[in-house]
Amino acid sequence: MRAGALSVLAFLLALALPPATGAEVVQRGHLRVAFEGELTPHLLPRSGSAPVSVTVGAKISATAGPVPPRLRRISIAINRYGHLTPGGLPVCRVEQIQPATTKGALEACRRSLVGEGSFSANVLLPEQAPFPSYGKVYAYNGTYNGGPAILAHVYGTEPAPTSYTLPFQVARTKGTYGTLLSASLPQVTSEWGYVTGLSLTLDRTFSFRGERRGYVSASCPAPTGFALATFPLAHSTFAFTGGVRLSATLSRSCRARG
Amino acid sequence: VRRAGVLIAALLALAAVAPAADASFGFPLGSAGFSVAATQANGDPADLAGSHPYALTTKIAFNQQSPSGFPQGDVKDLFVELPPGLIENPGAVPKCTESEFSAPRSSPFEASRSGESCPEASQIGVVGIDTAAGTRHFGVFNLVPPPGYPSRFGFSPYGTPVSFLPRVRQADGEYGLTLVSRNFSQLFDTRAIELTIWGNPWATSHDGERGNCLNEAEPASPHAQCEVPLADRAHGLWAYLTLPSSCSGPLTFSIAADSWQQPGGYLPSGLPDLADPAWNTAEHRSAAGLKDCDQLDFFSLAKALPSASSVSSSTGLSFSLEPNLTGLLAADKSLSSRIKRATIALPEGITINPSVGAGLGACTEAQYAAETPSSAPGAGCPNPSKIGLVTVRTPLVEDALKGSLFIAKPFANPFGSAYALYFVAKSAERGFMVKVAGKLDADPLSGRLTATFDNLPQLPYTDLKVDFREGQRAPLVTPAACGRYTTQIALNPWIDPGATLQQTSSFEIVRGITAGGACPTGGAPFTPRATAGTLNANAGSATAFYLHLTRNDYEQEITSYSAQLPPGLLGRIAGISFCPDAAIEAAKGRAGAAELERPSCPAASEIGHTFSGYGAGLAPAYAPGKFYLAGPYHGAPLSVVAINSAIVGPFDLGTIVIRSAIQVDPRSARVTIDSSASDPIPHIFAGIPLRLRDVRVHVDRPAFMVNPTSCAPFSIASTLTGSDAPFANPRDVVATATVPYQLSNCSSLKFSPAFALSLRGPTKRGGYPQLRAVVTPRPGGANIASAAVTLPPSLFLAQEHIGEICTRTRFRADACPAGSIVGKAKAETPLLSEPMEGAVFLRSSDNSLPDLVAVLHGRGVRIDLEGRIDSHRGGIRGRFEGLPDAPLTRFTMTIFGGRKRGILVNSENLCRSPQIADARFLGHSNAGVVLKPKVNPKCRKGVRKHRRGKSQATGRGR
Repeated sequence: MRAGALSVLAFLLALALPPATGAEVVQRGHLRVAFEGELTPHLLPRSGSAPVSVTVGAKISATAGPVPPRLRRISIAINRYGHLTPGGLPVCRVEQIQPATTKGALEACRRSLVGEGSFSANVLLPEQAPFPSYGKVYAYNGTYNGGPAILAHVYGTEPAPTSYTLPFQVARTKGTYGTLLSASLPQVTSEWGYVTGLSLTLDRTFSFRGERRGYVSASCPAPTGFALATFPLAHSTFAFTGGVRLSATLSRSCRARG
Repeated sequence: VRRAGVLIAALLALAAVAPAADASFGFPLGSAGFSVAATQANGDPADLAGSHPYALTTKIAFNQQSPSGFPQGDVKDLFVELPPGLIENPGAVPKCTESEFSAPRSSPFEASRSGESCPEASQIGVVGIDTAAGTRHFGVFNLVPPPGYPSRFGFSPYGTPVSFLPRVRQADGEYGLTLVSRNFSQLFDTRAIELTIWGNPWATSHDGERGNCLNEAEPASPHAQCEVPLADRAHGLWAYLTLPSSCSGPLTFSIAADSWQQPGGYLPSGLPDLADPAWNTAEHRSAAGLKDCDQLDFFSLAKALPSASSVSSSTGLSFSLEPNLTGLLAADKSLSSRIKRATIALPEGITINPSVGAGLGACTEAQYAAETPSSAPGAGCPNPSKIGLVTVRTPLVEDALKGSLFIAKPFANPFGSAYALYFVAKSAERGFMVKVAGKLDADPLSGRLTATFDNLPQLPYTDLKVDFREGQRAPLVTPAACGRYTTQIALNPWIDPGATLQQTSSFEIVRGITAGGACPTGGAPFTPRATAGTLNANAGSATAFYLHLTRNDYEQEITSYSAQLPPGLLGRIAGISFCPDAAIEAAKGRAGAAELERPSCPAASEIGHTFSGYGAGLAPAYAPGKFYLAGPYHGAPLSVVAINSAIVGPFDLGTIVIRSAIQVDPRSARVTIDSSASDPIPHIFAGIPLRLRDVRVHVDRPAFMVNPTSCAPFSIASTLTGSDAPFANPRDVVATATVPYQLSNCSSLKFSPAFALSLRGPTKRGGYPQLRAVVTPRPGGANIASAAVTLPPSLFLAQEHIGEICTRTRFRADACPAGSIVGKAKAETPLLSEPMEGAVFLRSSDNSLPDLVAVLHGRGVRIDLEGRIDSHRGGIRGRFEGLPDAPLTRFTMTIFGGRKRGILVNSENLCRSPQIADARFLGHSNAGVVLKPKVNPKCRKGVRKHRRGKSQATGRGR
């Protein structure tokens, strides 16, 4: 009954709204955050779960001034129809990949690799023009402070070879969003770095005990009788220096199989 | 027969009368013994100042034996001192020649007893000779003077010639006469003499006393018998005697006489030694002083004209005084007062020319005193002290008095002043001399000259002329601008020194001294020349450095100098002590000669010498100086000080001390002479505008200056400021002069620096090691222009430890926070005794990453080595470009490690693989080397898994 009601609702929503694929933009003052994400494949089992690829990302910008406020903390809550399945993957520790080149990190934790992405930041030093810093992000299944974590390892050579690892702690939550990824940034970007962009795609699949698994797996919450469903994929909160917090919810759709 | 009779009578008297034991040779007391009276024609006293008395009668009586009436002794020498200003003018009447004076007179009226036959026109008075036989009068005549005397008069009683020669007293402009008669004849026993000199010998009232008419009165018509023929009155009725033009008190006459029986002693000067009791003296004062001084005329025409009429030129000066002397000659007029003091203020712009100093000597007071009418040139004041010619024309002698103007010895002259003049004009022929000392004041700010001649002689002169010498070493300089200039001349008379006759004398400066001679318009131009360079043109060699500044006469004065030397032209101050500040200050107060003899600064601080030319014209006067190294000055880390002994000819004006600040550019070590922190170049010193024309600085201490090791074309840029008059308010104009500077033989300089990198501390990934880089250049090779060191890729930048960055603003203020210090550095250089050391900062940059800056300090000098940090082939690269072209013995930079402040972090275990850096050095000679030094972390034995290469053992690359 409840599932049927949801399916009706989803259907109506699917009829009323086109599938959401763009970014969710929120702004307060001169601070603007564009939150985006993607879930593939769109065809998912109605029950059970299948390995998926989830991409979440954010672009932080200032509509006025050289740089946006410094990002202090980022939290990404993922819909409860999706969940992380690290079981069967080796656990990587921060000490193994930090500091290290990408190559060095892969050498140390290749089997823990769960995804990759990109990272951008502005470095603003006193009396200097801000300069951008880009880096490739590799995400490893790991632990941090004793709990499960996704270790986002960033390595760049410009303007100088450096690396840092952003540990997203993984926690289970109740409600619409069953998984919460959260990370604090100050300790890794020093006081001069201003994160301007982060994108991470989690798409690792692996076999465990003869079973094919995905690091992220999901089902499509389409009610019975409905092939399509639109649902809140992720809800993100960005906390900045000065107490500014911006949140955005990203909705995506899926097609139910079976 | 008559003479024999007198002699017999005397012998008889001696035989019959015993000499009185209570009397001796001398003068009876009071006016009975000696009196002088100036009278008018009616017998009244002549008491008008400057007037011509009818007669001046001197009565001299000698003690007599009683009762024989014979004198107590026979007068031998007689000195009669007339009061100052009482003038006899021997030119007023013709002179009696020696032959006329020695030929006995033949009178148509009676046998004459006078031994002369002088013409009536030469008679100037009568003398009464009182002997035991009675009194008889004889004519007194104006005689041709012997060499060395201005005049002579005499008489020949009983055929025995008696003459008086004047000695001129000149102390303090007195101009007094002392009449001297030596070896008075013993042939007659002179009991008394009454000498009457006529004020106006031409007066017909004297005709009855002339020549043959004297004693032989022709009652009928004496005027017709003995009058002076009109033909002899060629120049009118000139007066012979003139009373002083002063009303300061009674006229004082004095007399001194000795006897043949007891001759008196003499002083070396030829004057009687009055301490000798053989001399008998008496004095007579007139009852009252002269009067009506305020009625006397006082006029004189004064002129002062430079010899040059172009601007800023060496010049002489012609100065003349032409007093009105009409009253001296005209018997019916009074002589005007003579000039006591003349103050000549030259116009501003006419100043002393320092060029005059070359070869100039000075006259000491003793030498000045040794100037006598007969002294040979140089016997008194030395010829090198002569700066002009002087001429004095007086009616009292036929020929002009000629002589020289001398520079008096500074500070040892009658005024104790720096500048003084001695005016010496004389006639050896007439034994006549005028000597006056004059004070010369030079305004300390403008250099304006004021000459004061006080106590000018009361000698009546018609023309007094001073001609300062001309030519390139003339003593004066004309003003810098065309125009009309006026000399102020103040004249004060003897009769009332407080009264002033103000006169002016103007002249024109009409030409410039540039091509075409056009007058300068507006401010004077300022285009000084500056040349500089090193004597050794080989790169990297020790050398002497020279600097040569010149300016033309017509240009503004140089007031400051600054220069930027080429990069790499440096001084090796290792082992050279600074001249202490106290010594420099002490030098400013010393005499130039003392400074030359015993320099204030220690020889250990001497780095060169100077040679400076001062003055206008083509031949400046040069003065040597020394050049010293000194310590910090006005914020600059170093300074140099030029100490010149300001000795220009005889003038020891002290020392000219100019201290110049030396700035060292922290980035390039380029040396700059910073005029803003330096002493200004003085343009007037002790009232003499220096007119600095030529400055030569030679920094030639052996092995002090070191050439750059670059052969790139550089320049030495000089900046000078100039100032035009008035000197008290300089108006600075800036001029620049740039001299190309380029060395050679750079290719002969080797360039092979050794380089070593080492790591200390943790070797494992995540550790923060300490990095130590050591550069050891080859001695004598090219200096390092740039260095780029790329660390092994295993070393990452530890962003988390980049805590504080020194902003450029704080860096400039030398106030970087401690948190921005990431290392330390040390540079050893042969230029300094001690190494330069300092911290390594992270400083804001226009580069992506902060700069790595080593701030080195040593002996007050600061050098900033600025390195840019970036990435090269995956490794952190530090690039130090534009390094100073300075020799290094060894350079060490340490970047701190550790968990709290290490800015490098290991991205892998350093002991797992060889750590190879890349180092590229470029020399200032353009030679380059690429090194691949292996970094030596301290690995535990057996941990290092890679094979050690051969050069790895040393961890060095060359």
